[in-house]
Order: sequence, then structure tokens, then C-alpha cells
Amino acid sequence: MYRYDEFDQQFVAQRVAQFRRQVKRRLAGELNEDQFRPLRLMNGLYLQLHAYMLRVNVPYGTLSSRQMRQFAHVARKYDRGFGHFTTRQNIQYNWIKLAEAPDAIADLAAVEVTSIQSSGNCVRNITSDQYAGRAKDELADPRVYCELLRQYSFLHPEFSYLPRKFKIAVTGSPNDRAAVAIHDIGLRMHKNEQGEIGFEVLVGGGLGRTPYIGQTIRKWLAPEHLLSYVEAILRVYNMLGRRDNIHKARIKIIVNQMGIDKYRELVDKEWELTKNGTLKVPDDEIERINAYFAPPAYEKLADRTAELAALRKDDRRFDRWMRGNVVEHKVPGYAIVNVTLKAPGRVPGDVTAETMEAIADLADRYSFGEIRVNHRQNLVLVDVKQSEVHELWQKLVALELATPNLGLLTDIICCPGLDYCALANARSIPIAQDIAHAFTDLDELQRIGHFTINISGCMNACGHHHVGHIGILGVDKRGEEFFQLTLGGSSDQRASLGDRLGPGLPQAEVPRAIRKIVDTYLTMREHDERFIDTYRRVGIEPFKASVYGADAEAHAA
Amino acid sequence: MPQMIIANRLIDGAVVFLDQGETWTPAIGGGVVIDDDAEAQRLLAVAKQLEARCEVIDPLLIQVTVEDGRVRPTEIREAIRAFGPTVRTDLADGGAAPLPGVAPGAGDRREQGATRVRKDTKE
Repeated sequence: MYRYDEFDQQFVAQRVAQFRRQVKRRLAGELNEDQFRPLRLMNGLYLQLHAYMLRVNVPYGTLSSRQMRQFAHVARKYDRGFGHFTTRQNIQYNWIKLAEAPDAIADLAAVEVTSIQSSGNCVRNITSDQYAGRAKDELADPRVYCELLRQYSFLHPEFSYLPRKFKIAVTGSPNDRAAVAIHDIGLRMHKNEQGEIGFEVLVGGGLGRTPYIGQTIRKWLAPEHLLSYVEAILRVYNMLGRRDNIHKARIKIIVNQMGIDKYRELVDKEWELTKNGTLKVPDDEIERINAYFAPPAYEKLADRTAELAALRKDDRRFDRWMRGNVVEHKVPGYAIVNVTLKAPGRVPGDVTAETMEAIADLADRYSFGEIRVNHRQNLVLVDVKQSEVHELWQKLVALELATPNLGLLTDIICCPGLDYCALANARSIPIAQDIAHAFTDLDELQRIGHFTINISGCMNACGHHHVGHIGILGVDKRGEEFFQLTLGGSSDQRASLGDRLGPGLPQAEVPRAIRKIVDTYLTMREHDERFIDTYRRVGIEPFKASVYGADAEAHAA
Repeated sequence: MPQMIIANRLIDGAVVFLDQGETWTPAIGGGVVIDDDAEAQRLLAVAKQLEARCEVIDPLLIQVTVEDGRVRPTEIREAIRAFGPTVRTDLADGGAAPLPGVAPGAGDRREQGATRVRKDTKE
């Protein structure tokens, strides 16, 4: 895992001291809110409905048990005993006191975690595949390149005041678990005709008020040019991106307005000037960073397929969990274990301090002390011996962290919504809870199969609603909360934006509508076709008719 | 419609209401309910002075209803601010709101004889 170097450590310490003085001046009345707001946002401190919210980066979703314990400590000492993992692989604390924020940030800095660049118009936390470095299907560990980009973009003076925020995601696998197509820049590792590893570069993806799937600006980019090419993209954006209208300031707007070919032309022109300069990444630098991501000291083990099969045969609950939550590891004898935070009724992504500590203990005992966060708001223990999977499962069951619903209908992405967020129009968490309560039959969930429901409480789309197989968007209709459904969204390697099903529904009708959509799917699916494939085959009409009945046409009109 | 002044306290961000003594209280039941527009504007100006003195952030007038001695903001957003997340009733600060999932509490109940600013009480 990457460690702060002396420079990072010193800088972050100085920043904490600086922020402490700024908070003191604010409390003493020397700064007003307009003067202070940008300073607190530069440190990831927002003001939400009930209190200040602190957003803390988990770079590429990788953290150590030590860091997780410190998250628990911060939750307990400065907050109300819990934190919330987000779709950007960050953790958010909902009740930080301004006067104590510098202490909380200092305690986080002590374990090399920072809230710098978790807000503001800069390059935000660089996200990645939660199975990075362990997945059987990946070409190389994408975190090496995430870290290269993180070091490059951290406090970069030229890109500290972009027209708007900027999100980058990297996948090293053809099976995209990092939703790279909905990022400002998405990087997909793949091999060229010569068999060399490089990146397909996507640009201009994003959700929010104007959603777009990213477009390919370059089919293959050699890793040595990663920084110069990303810089060229950023520089063109910085020069041409709109600053007059916050809703039109993201790179997706400019890319889609001028067209990808024109944007490419401008980037190439810029890139020509720099590609062979100082930003060319030497192999030894890649090697140096690579060393931080060296695999742990695996034992030479054989796969325990027969042993696990016997245990699965004996215990249906274990079998279900294995089928859903455990993923193949690239090293024989090991497994990737997903720790779902989606037990029916709980708030997706919320974890108490006690649970954080319990997960840290499990990581130490079973997984080399490492924990991952995925963008679907679950946690992962990536290096578990197959021989210990059953024992770990029993412990997860006791902690209510073994709901076998990974990738199933109740593995819902959900933003904090109007229960916490100052931007939200409607509550999203109660919708997630209602749906989870309506689909508690685990056999049924497995029969339904792979399914994503993504919920956002406003059009800013932190809950990625546009790319859920079912997307749910909370809206305010004359003071009442309504929910608009979209179908057919996806954030994987075949990313697509959902189509609007019809008029918004009141909260009470949402679970019933989901039920009707699922029933329609089950009657129409061929063989073991996934919902998204059935939807792509049959289109929206049957689903519209099932939810809106005879009114469907009138609604469509 | 009756109004109140809501804000976030600077030091910790907590939701607070302007009370009769022109200070801030976290319990909505302790805040001043204003029936008169002119008085509402006057108190908002007071609240903005308190904002300038770094007590609170973003004070604003919200509409409320008072029924059976219980005060409740009419807008869902403000009700959630007043009573805490509806999904974590254990975290409620200001008492309870009649929102789904919120357990009854006491912070929204007004003391007998609690101040209610009307036109005739205006100084």
C-alpha cells in the first residue's frame, strides 16, 4: 500500500495547522462565511442539513486495518459513532463540529488519510476496481496508475481551480467494476495489437443534470504517456471549460458541444508540446510505485474446491453466501470476500465505529490487514485463504455483514438524500429500505439474478441513478416527494443511461412498481438472461404497461 | 401562516431556532413562533445581525404549523432539519416530527404560555 512520503506528511501537517488557524479566525469573527467557505471546502468540510459533513478520501478504495480503526476513532470521538461510505470510495462523517474539525483531520492525517481535494474544483479522489491487484480477469494492478495520477494531481497548481470538479477512474480489467465511463476521464487498461498494455482513454462521461457516457478520445495510450495525455485533456478543459454557468462547467458539456473529434484534435495539439518532455513516466518510477502495491506474502496453497463444495452442500446459507459474495482470486488457495453493508433495513454504506473495528480485526486475522471500498458502498476483504472462508463467514454472520445479496436487487446504491444532504429534494434512504423489505426472500433474489438499483435524492446523481438497471430519482413536486424511475442503465463495460419509465411515483408506490418490473422481467426473460439483457431485447414498453397499466399510453403522450 | 427563524449554529453546525430572548435554541418548541410578517422581517434582521456576530449561518424564515402545542415546519426539508434524519430516529436533536419512521419525542412541544409573537405584542 502506498505510504505518505516525507513531503506528503509535512505538507498535510502544515495544512492542518493552517486550517486550525482559519477555523479560529472564523470563530473569532475575523472571517465571515463567504470568506471561510472556500477554505473549509478545500479541507473537505461541507455544511449539510444538520451539521458539518467531512468527506475523507480513500484513494482507489484501498485502506489498511489501521486506517479503518482510525475511521472508527474519528466516528466515535468527533461524530455520532458512524460513517458513510460513498459511491466515490470515500467516507463521510455527518456530524463534525467546526471547532473540532482540525483535530479530526489531524487524527486522520496521522494514518496518512486526507480530506484535501475531496471537494472543490480540482481532481477528486481517483477511484478504481475494488478487486484491483487480486482479480483474475485483470491485466495489471490499476492502482499503480491511480497512485501515479494521485501524486501528479495532488495540489497541482495549474489544476487547483478548474472550471468544475474532475473525476478520474481506472480499471485494469475488461469487466469494468469501477464505472469508468461515467467519469470525466475513464481509463480502461487493455492490450494493443503488439500485446503491450496501455489504456483506452474515455472523456466526458458524467451523470448529474446532463448525463453522458464517456467517449473514446484515444484507443490506446502507452502508460509512459499517461501523465502528459491526462494533462493535455485537463489543460484544454481548463482553458475552454465554461465558468459562467455551474451547470455547464463540467468537461462533458464542452466535449459534447464541440464533438469528440474536435476535442481530440485540441488535446493532440497540446499533447504534441509535452509528450516527450518531463512528464514522460520512466519505467523505474512505475516500478517504484508498483513496489508499494506488492502482493502480500501469500502461502503456496492449493484450491480447496472440494472442501468448500462439501461445506456448501451441508449448509444452504453458506452456499448462498459463497455463490453471491465470494469471488475468485488470482492466487490459488485464496478468495476475495465481499462484506456487504446491505442487510435489509440498514442504511446503504453506513457503518458504526464498532463494526469498523470488527472489520479491521477480521482484515488483520484473515486478509493481511487490508480492506477495500467499492463504489456500490460495500467493503471487501481481498486476500482470504479458502481454508478460512467458512470461519470468516461465521464471524460475518454474527456481525450481520453476510447478507448474500452482492450484485442482487437489494444491493442498492443510495445517496444520503434529504435525510442528510442540503442539495437533496427527496429522501432516498427510506426508498432503499422499503425495497429491501419488499424483497427479503433470498431464493427469490437469486432467481431474479444480477440486478442494480441506484437511488439519488436529487438530479446531482450521487446515487448514480442514471446507470442503475432501475434508477430512482427523488424529485420535489409541490412540496411532496416523488420518485422517477428509469430503466436500462448500466455502468459496466457496456455502459448506458437509463430511459425514463413515466411520471414520478409517491414513495409508497415505489416497491410495488419495482415488483411489477421484476415480474414482467421474469415472465419475459429467456433462459438465465440478466434483467439488463432482457430490457435491451424487449425495450421499455412492457415495463411501462406493467407499472402504469392502461394509463401507460396516456402517460407516454 | 406562522413562521420561525431557523439557522445552523456556527461552532458545530447544529440546527437552531431563534427564541424570544433573541438567542438560539436547538429545540423547535423553544423557538419563537411569529404570526406577523413585519415582525418576522424584524426578527430576521436581528438573526442576520447574530449571523454577522458569528453565532449562526444562513438564518431564514420557515413556515410552521402549531397543533396541540406541537410545532412542525410545513416543508419536509425543514422538518428533517428540525428533527433529524428520519432514518436515524435515535439521533433526533429537536424532538420528534410526525414524519414516517420518527418516534414521538418532546422537543417539539411548546411549554404552556410559551411566547408567540403576534402583531399586538410588537414593541
